[in-house]
Order: sequence, then C-alpha cells, then structure tokens
Amino acid sequence: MSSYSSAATIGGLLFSLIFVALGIWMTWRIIEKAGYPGWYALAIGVGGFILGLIPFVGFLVQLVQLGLLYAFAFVRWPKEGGTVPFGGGIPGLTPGAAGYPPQAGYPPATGYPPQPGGYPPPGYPQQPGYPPQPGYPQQPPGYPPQGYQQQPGPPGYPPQQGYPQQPGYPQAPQQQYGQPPGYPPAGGPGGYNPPPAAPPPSPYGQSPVAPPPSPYGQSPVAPPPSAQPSPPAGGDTEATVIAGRSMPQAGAPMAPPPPAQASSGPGWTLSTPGPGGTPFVLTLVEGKSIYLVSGQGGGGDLIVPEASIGNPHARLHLAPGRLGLEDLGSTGGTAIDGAQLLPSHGIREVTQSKKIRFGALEFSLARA
Amino acid sequence: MGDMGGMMASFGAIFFVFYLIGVAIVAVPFWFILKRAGFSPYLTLLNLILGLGTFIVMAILAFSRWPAGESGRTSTVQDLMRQVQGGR
Repeated sequence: MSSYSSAATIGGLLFSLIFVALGIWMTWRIIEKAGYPGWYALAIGVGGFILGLIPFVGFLVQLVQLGLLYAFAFVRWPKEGGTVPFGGGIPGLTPGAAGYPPQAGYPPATGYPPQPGGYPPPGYPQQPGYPPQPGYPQQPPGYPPQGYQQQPGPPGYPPQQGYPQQPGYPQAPQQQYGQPPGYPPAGGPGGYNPPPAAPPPSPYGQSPVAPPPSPYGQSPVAPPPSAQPSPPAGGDTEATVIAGRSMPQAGAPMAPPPPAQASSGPGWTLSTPGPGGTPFVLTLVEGKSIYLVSGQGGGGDLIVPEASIGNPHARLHLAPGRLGLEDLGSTGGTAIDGAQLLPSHGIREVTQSKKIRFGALEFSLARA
Repeated sequence: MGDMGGMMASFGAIFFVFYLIGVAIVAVPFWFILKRAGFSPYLTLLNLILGLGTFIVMAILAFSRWPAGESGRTSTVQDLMRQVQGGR
C-alpha cells in the first residue's frame, strides 16, 4: 500500500516535471520570439518549481508567474523596438540594457561610417549618436544617398587623386576619373576646364571627403544653394522615433516632401533577399506620387506576399529626388534603419535611409 | 435524493463559475499576447479546454511563425536574411 502511494507520488512528480519542462521549453521559445533571452524562462521555471516544493510558497510562486505572464502581455517587447523593460533585446538593437541608453546602442546603420574626417560637427547636438543624421545637413540636395551605399566612404579615402593631372584634360577625362560612361558631361568638363590649380568646385559639392562622383547616377547639376534639404522637423522628432511610443510625437508630421531637388534618378527600388533565396524587388517609378504597400490580397500598388505585411501596411510618397514613408498602423510594423515607424509619426523622409523593414522583411532602399 | 441532486447541481455551478474565472485570469494576457504576435486573439478560447488548453495556446505561440514578425533568433527567415546581409 505504501509502496503504491510512494510510486504514485514519484509518478506525479515525474509528470509535473515533464509538464514543467515542456512549459519552460515553450516559454523559452515564446519569449525569444518576442526578443527576450530565452534563459529567462529557464530561470523562472526552474526557480518556481524548486520554490514551489516548499509548502505554502507554491501558491506565491504561481501568483508571481501569473504576474509575469501579465507583464509579458503588456510591456513592450524588444522585437518591437523602443524602451524595453526587463532588459533583453535584439542583439545590436537594444544592447542588453534595460531602458534605452541615449542612442549609444543604436546600430550604425550598415555602412554609414561616422562621417570620416572633414565634416564639421553636424548642427544637431541633441542627437549625437543617431547614425543617419550627421551627414544630413551637408548633403548637397541633388545627390541621392547611393554614394554612401556603394562606396562607403573609407576614412582614408584620398580625395582628389586625379586632380594634379587636370591641366592635360581638355576633353574626355571621364573614364580616368572612374566615372561611368553614362556620366553626363555637363558637369564634368565644366568642372575640369577651369584653371589647372583650382580643383573643380561645384559639381562634387563637398570635395574633401565626398566619395568619388561615380556612384551618383544622375546628372550632377550644381545644387541650388537655396534648396537645402531641410532635415525633417529637426532632431527632436528623430529622437522621438528612437524613443518609440513612450514619447509619441505631438503632431507636426512632415508634409509630403516638397519637390526641392534639382534633379533625380528615375526612381527607387526596395529589395529583399526572399525566404527562398530569390530576391524580391519593389520598384517605384517617379511620376506616380503615392505607392501603397500591402500584403497578399490587398489592393495596394506594391503587393508583398508575406504574412507579416498588413493590408494596407504602409504608404510611400515620392517627390522628385525624395522619398517619404508612412506607416498605416500595420500589425507587423514598419522600421526605418531599425527605428520603429509609427502611424503617429506621419510621413518620414527616407531619402537618406538604407533599410526599411515591413513586417518581418527588411528591404534595402536604393536608387533605381 | 432531490436535495442531493440540487446540491450537486449547485456545486457544479459554483465549480463552473470558478473555472470560468480561472480561465479568464489566464485568458486576458494570452488575448493580448496572441494579438501582438499577429494571431487571432480568439485562439485564447482554447484556454477553455480543461487542463490542456493553456498548453495548446503556448504550443501555438512557441512552434509557429508569428505573423507579426519575430525577434529573429528562432526565425529561419530572419536567420537567413541575416546571413545574406552579412550579419547585422
């Protein structure tokens, strides 16, 4: 009789152990998908199980675990970006620390070097670490960001290599400057013909540190001095994006980008390496000003057959030389260079951005 | 005997009420978790299954791909994309 009861006890313990292990395993996977370290589940589960063996403490443990379940349901998850309680975080996005370090942990958005040399400190002291900003004011308006993507301006780039040979270039200097054949000569010879000693002033805008002009796939019309691409609504709004929903921006959504640019390429492409290895490319052609991004079965202009893309998901606003992005309250979310974009942010300029995430898919933004 | 049956019925009713309260306590967070993961929040109703319901909901959350996107550590799609992008 006693052996039977002890066997039942052992069996019950074994049964509960199996259930606890199963629960820990599934909780591990769930919180990991939300962006928390999975071992939290192990700690909570094992700790709760051991403490639960103590009489009367078991009830408390269950209360605490229920509280944690509620907390998990209502706090911001690391995968959603923004301020995350309880630490954790996507590696590289929120580096383990609870709360947001003042933008120090933001990933240097893939290829934006910290503006090698030369650049005067950007006029936005309130946001030191935000990657896309520093180069912003200096960008000549007419130039798309491709130059930084294709040639991520190495710090030690010797700027004007070819210039000493300038006197001898009456014509056709383009190839030697590494320019593509299609480079319109309007800016080229105009810039090279001046007196030998003077480096060509305007066509390249920012001579010392600028990447070579070749990546600019557009006619190098001298940037109109007045058309500075006014950084969208100042630095505070950008900081709002970083801080996430805890600081919802009070109005002031950026107006649709004004056609400030002198020239532009034909359009934009958003490409992502698809799950099956086949790249998925969205093409935006200028001429049409608004593109609606939606998922499968949606009535958008850009259909992304992916479950995490909402119907509708986001809206892209095209203006000559500029591109704006607006989230439409999608479940999967939208992010610009890792920063969550919310519907309350209105339209954000993504002309200088590199990565745009729709739902679970991250797209690389490039000039077509 | 009729009294006995009435008592049983009232016990059953009381048990049912407590069972519903217990399910509701667990269902509230699951409702929001499912919604944020991109699932239909009505999957919470699986919690009504006595004993196993919560495990079923947890299994759904743990072993299927979240429509709203995952953190990426367990997602094969994201892992692949990270590889393709050269590690971000």
